[in-house]
Amino acid sequence: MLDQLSEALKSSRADFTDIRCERAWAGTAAARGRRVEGLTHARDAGGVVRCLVHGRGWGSVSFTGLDRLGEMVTRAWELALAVQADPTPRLAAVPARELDLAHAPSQDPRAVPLAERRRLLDALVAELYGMDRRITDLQLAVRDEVVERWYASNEGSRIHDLRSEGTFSLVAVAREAGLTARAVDSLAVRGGWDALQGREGWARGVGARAVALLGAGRPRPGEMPVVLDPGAAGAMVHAALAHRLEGDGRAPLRLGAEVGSPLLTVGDDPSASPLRGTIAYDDEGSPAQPTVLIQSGVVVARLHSRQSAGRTGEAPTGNARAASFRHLPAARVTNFYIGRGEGTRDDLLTGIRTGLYVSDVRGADWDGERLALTVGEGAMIRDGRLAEPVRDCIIRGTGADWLAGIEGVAGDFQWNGAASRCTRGIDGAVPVTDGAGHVRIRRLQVGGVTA
Amino acid sequence: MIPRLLERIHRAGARGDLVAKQDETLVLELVDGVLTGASILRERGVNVRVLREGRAGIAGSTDDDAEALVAAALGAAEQGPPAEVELPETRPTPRVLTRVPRAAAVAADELRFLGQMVADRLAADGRRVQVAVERGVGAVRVANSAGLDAGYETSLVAILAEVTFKEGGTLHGHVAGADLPEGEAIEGLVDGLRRRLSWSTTEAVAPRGHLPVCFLPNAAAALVTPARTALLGRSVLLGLSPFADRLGHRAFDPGLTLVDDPTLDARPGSRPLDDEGIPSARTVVVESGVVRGLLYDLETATRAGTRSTGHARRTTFGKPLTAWSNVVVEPGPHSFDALLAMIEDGLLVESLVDDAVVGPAGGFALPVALGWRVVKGEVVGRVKGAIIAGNAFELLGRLRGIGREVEWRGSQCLPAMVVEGVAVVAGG
Repeated sequence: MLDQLSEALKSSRADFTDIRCERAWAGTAAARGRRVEGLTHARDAGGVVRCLVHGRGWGSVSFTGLDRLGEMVTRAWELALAVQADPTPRLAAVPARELDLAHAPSQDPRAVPLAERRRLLDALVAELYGMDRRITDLQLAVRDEVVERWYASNEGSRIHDLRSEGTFSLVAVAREAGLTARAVDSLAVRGGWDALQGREGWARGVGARAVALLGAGRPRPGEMPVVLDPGAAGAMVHAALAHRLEGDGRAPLRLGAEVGSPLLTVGDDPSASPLRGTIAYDDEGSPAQPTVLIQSGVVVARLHSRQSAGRTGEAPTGNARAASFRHLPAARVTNFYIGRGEGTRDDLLTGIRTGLYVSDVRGADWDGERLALTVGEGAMIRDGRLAEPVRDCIIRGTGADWLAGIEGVAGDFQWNGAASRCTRGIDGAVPVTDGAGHVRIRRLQVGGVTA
Repeated sequence: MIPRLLERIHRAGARGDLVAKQDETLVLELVDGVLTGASILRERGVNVRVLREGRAGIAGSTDDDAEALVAAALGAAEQGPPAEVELPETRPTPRVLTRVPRAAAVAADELRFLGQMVADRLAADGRRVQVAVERGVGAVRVANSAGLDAGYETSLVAILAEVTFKEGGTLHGHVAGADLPEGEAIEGLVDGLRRRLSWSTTEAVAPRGHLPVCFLPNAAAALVTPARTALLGRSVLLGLSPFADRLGHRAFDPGLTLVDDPTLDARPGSRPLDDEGIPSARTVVVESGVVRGLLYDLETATRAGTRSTGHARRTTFGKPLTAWSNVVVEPGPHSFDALLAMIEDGLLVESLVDDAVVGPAGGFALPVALGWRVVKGEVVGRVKGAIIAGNAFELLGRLRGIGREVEWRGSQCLPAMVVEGVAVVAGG
């Protein structure tokens, strides 16, 4: 396939041309309650050609099917000739590389009959209904995907990669005495078919959370200290900062800006292994590398594609990511984290008379100045200890309330195993992982009951 | 390829149906009137459903391997869910305009001119104006083992404008349809954005309490969306709809009439038949606040013991889903000024942050992305940090007034509406 890409590149008259092709296989099994909703199979194949003409700009063509690459190169070049970008986009230089990173998964899901997905699904459904009579409904989907990618540029880069991953998504509903509660979670696992096995414990954990929530009330509105568990802290920092640290985002933070407390370190680590956001090379063929973005509360670096690096004069960080061949690469996060602190969760709880502990976040909305976190599950903190469970509330505050208000980061760092995706307008959704330890924030507004 | 696929399904002793879609879209991006990028997206794919031995299996593909596609669907059917589908035979379809030749053939230069015209009209110091002009040309074909083989061709021209203004905010506007937009539509887009910009030059303190709120069409769509979901037959089957036992009963404000109409000419959701081959028809779902019907595809109709209303939508991947086509909220009697005059002290809302998260039960508490304070019927300035909360179904039950002017937002046609007693929480 790489030879076909190289052959097509020979016909390009543009100053820079690259081609990225993908072939993806996916199997999905979904259940609603005890009913199997569907077994589906998907095969997706296509690519995208980008041409950059100096004095003009970018032209691109994305396409399904892989049989007319030369024609697509010509069309992308013709489009680039029509453009009059001023100044012409500049690409930061990266060395050309020839690499084969494709390793077949230990048990290739493409060779596993679709019926096996049904067996996996049935086993998890039985597990959930068997664990507690109060589990009365569920939504479960199991998906596995293998994506093979080829990248080549007229600068001489040639990269072949193959990635295999499975995801589970689950909503468990518990009912008792007229009360209803639901727990929501997802799980992503890198690897072959074997990596999807043995996930009953995870499913039981989600079911147990739904049951535990039956007894949960809602916190009394007011201002109070908040302690976020690692998953909630990761969701918070992602919503508040991820897009603002992407060099081609709508309003990127400037280098040197003070955005948080001296305890706040934030970074992006595509090399952390093996997570949703882990990549060796980005979608422009640049090597992906760990980048510390915020040190002691101050912005020290931003994430870049070759294009955004060329525009700002900063170095490319290997973060050019495309959601699929239907999208162009843009500077996007991979595995995004709050750096490890010190001490334990209980150390952070110490000294709080009344506060809120958050263990599940259902939504995080950043409006440019303020952040609102929709809390699904948590507990009140009373006299330095976790007390009664609570659910369904909103925490809000300005960016400074959240980030400058950080007064503790625990040493219990962990990557979140959820099947998270980061969405950015027309650039689409890329798989990411968030990481953090427990985080304590001085004072936030808690209220806004949700249903 | 389609006869080959049906032949393969027949040879396997199965029945089945499929939808084949192809589309090529040219996208021109302009920043402050200058063309900064040009791209083409070409998409072609087939979604196949086979029914064998009482079970259904689905497969979709963007490559041309018919053998592999049918084999995958047959494999899925071995352990698939019960096949609760009666494949429709060919029936007459209404005449619906879905492709306009002059739009399908328009030159890229003409599209660029359209974009520049919009950008020039919106340009001003301290503003960044981004305009994308899109022109899509496509075809849809639906076929099944019962002899159905029908299709139609499409065109779609869209202008999307984004204005970032110096006071710190972003406005969006767009027009879309199968034909090139008329001058009146472009004037409407520009005037709408200019009016919103003029309201945004001053700031006001957000009010607090249970207040009247005027939802502009874009924000009104966020209120209507959960109702649209709850009015699908599938939501009722899953026990997720509060309207399960409200058929024929009042569930909304008497001013609210909600229609699905795929037979309108040249709108983004227009089509003569759905993706399972059922002829399109106008469906009144809510009439003067009374629930008149639910929307079904073949599978959900069979499960509910009724007939499909022709609302299946299929993409290349996944199973058919029930979906609205063109959503029309019927306009009311009030001018925009009359709507504002209904507000002694309240809000005018253009957009909510992340309005997609309004849940199936209708409950929400969302920050206002762009909104203004209204005092004694006058817009006094932009508010920041407000959160509005409530239940979308309840709010649609207490409308103080509905506007007589409508705006098309993609495939949704909505008026502005004033809602009583919305919980407004000041932020900051």
